[in-house]
Amino acid sequence: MEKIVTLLLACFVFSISLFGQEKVTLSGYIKDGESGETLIGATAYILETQQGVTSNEYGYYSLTVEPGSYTVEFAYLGFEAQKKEVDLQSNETMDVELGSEAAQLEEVIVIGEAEDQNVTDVEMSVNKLDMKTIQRIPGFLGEPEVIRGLQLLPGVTTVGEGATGFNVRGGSIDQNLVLLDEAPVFNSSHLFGFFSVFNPDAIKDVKLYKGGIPSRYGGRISSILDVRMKEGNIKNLSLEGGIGSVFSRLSIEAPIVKDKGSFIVAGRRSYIDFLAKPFLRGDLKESVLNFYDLTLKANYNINEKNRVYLSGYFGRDNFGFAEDAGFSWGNSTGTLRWNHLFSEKLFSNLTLFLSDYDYAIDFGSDAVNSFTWNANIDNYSFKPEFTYFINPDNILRFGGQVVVYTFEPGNAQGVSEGEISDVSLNKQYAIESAAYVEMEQEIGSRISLNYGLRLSHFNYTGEGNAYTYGEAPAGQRRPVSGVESFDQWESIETYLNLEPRLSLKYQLNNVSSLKASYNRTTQYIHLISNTTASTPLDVWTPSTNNIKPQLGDQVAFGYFRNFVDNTYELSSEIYYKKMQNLVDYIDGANLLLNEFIEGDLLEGEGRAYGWELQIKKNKGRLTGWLSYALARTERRVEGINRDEWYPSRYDQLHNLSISAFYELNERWTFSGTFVLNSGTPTTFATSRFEQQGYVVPHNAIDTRNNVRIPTYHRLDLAATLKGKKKRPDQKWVGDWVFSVYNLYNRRNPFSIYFNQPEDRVLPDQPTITEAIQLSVIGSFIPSVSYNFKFR
Amino acid sequence: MRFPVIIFLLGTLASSCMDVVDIETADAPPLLTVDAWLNDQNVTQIIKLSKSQEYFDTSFVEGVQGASVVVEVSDGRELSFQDDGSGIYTWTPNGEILGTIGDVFSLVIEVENRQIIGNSTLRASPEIDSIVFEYREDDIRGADGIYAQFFARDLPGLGDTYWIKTFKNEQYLNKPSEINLAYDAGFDAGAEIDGLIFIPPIRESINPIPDEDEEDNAPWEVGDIIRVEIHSLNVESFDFMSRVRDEILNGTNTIFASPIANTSSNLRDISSGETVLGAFNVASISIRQVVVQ
Repeated sequence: MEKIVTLLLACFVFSISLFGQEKVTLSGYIKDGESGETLIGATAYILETQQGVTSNEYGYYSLTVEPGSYTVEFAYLGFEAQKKEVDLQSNETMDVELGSEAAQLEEVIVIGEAEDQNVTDVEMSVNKLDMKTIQRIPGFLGEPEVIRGLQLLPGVTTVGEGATGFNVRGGSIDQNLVLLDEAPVFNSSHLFGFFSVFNPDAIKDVKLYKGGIPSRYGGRISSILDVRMKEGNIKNLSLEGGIGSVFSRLSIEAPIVKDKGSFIVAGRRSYIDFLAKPFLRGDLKESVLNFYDLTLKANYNINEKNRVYLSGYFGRDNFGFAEDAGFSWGNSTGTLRWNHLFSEKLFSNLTLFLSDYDYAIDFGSDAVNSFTWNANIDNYSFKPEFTYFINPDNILRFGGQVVVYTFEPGNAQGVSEGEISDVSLNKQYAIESAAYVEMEQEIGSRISLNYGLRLSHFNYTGEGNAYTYGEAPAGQRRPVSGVESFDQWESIETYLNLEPRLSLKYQLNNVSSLKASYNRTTQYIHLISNTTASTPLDVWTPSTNNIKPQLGDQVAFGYFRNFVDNTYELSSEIYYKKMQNLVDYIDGANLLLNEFIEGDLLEGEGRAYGWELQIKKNKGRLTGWLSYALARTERRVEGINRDEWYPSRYDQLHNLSISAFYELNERWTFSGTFVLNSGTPTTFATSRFEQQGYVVPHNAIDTRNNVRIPTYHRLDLAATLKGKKKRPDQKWVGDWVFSVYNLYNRRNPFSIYFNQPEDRVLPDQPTITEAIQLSVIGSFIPSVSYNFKFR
Repeated sequence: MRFPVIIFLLGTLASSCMDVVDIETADAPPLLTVDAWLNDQNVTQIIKLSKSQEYFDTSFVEGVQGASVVVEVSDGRELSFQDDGSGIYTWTPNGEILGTIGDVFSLVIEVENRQIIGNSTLRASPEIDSIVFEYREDDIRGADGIYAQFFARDLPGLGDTYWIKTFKNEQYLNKPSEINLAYDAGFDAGAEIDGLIFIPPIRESINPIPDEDEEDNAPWEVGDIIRVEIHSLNVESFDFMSRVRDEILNGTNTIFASPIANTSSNLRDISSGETVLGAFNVASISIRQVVVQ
């Protein structure tokens, strides 16, 4: 560890010495010519010197070179590249607007260097999904879905259909930092896991870091999902929307002041309850069963050096049964950002965000008998970030972050015949802070590096009680042995971690490269969940005097090669990830409304390793990719599985997916996905015994996850009929999407569980015990939806 | 507190399905099971000894015979349970009852060269003040008809645990989903609801859960006899029965099922340390029986 740090510092000092030579800078924003949206990850490439940079998260690029005349090529996948002749004698700004490839016909497309980013970029273990791709993947009930799209990438899995979240390289779902315009989203699902909170109409760019995580990101140990919202059309009013079988969507984008500022408002609402209403009687007519979300963003270009963005998300799932019971949950986030250019070379962004997840449950129809229960996590953060474009070969990033958390693990009040009893748990508070420095560097034409350090600190504070726990046999509840009270902001426990990060690329030749990366990551907050799929009731808990932060160390190596003029991309990677201080649970753990929950938690270690392969075809009428992962993820926890290693519940040895898109002509596009996964492991009972007339399952060999449920495979198809554009200036264009999910009607297992029939067993009858295979989707699901655009 | 799975099933638009499948379970040795739930009533007391079976073996369990089964009471009495020849060991009170509140009981079993012991304290159970009925219609909770609830107040002090059993026309409501347990006036230990009238879900869990083909039938009709009993539990027996219920019903939590967890026990094999299944509890019982009017 020390050696790594020393090495990184040495590299850093070396690159600082490159400052201060007489040079000039070309900088600006790269945008989509049609809507004015800035493009993330577009390239600006100087043909003469063969040097280039990619635009950052705000579309900004900066090239610092010797004075002279240059040809600069600007390119972005899916857009027509542009070459600009520049006579650069002093600092200059140049904003570039790229034209959509779709504006012309698909035949001859000139695309520049952006095409071989897979090979030339220092990043590895990173997957980008643009919205165009996500929208073409056949969706469940015809809806394009970000999270389902991610699950078609190598190394991304799910424990099963309908389960919330996703697993990256053997990590649990809470080890993914899901960012929506920089604000963390604590529960990324609607309707459990069937739909995600990301409205496809409002999303611009999705990037998943599975490894080689740069030091500007931190807080979770497995992955970073960086989702960026659209800014809104800065040129014209445009409307987009869709009518589907589950919900309808509508978004409005328009300039606030033309070419200065714009906004987008996008909303969705499900209408299961409207559809169900005619079938319900009496009080049930009052039932509520819906979810909705609203995504908003506005930006304003104050002047060349200052730009502000305000974005927000608000979404909720609601279930209610007349006056008897209600259940709802949702996220809200808000982000305010200020981009400021200190100079052409020094770009800064200051982010303030807040994010909240909460749920609420109530039972009881009158004031004298009721039960209300809610819980939430909220956080506020301040995050300054700086990018110093020293020259095209050296980009320095540095910054920091402070996050203030408030956890309300459960506020509950029961009223029984008018008597109130409050069983609320104490609130918990914590402050997480971090500082980082990151250097992106090219050495010669073959070697690229991205290295950095992140120093993170966690302070678990009062006010509140800190408990200490006594000893118990491994795997059993530890009794409370002491309690100490703390004042507001008084430290109960602190943790400090140094997280080195390193990615390295060695260019073998024009079409292939080798890459390697190492990262250490720390996670200070944990989702307490012991069910196969996480429920909306699961609560987040901070690291405390009893719960240590989770640590992750990952190394990865990869070989990258493009074929046939970048038509095909091949990525092949192996990784090994070690995880420490994972949270696990005693048998029969009581995780909700339990003040002494820490006594029910166990600490374990994990390891995950595997090989991932992706072959993509980027050009032609037929495009798509094949993903395959051979992977293993295991845990060891004292008190579980006789203290031996056992596979995690979401372990899948083989994971194959094929996604293909075929453009038949200007109007018809067909797409298909096929997935084939090894069955996930589960635990079976071995025996049954009788007690008081009940038949009880028992696992006499005390193993965990030692049997596999059957293989999962599924084929989905979709066809899109684009609306006919009769005139070039036609404002309204509508597309029909026909899709079938689970085409060959397979009942894919989610789990196999042990069961007794629910009908009453008479005392002289034996009890039947059987195994039941649960399929969440039990049939093929056809759907039709209509999407429209008006501009 | 378990997750309201009904919401999930509604949410999946009823597309999910469940199929009975043939699977193989791992071989496992049969384990000694002790079923020792005694009470302070003037009735024959029963302790059953048996062995666990392979999970899919749906025959009746076979009893373990030839054991010595003795209950020692803190007042010095030793109650010897007699083998009836099928693994059922009984003791019939002869004018005396098993014990009174506060007595500590030790179960000592000698069988197959093993010695198994367990302890239980006889704890009090609260009086049932009343059983009341109401007529419900168009309600999410079930068919139209008469529904019952009982009223009783948890005894003061933290950590009182109870098993509320209901009998309909003398038939015990024996579905696993009808197991009605209380920790103080609420569900479980983390949320301490002490000294109150039992919370409504516990009061109302005395209504039978209908079989699949009887879903339109009301739980009670005029003339039915309802008997509610509150059995006091020691905390270990409460934990045991909670786990019994949760493990039997775990699968019904669909995608939110927990990993299979074994039951705990307050019985120990002091000779070999081998696992013993089951629990030992001595309960006081408060009873109320009414005719539905």
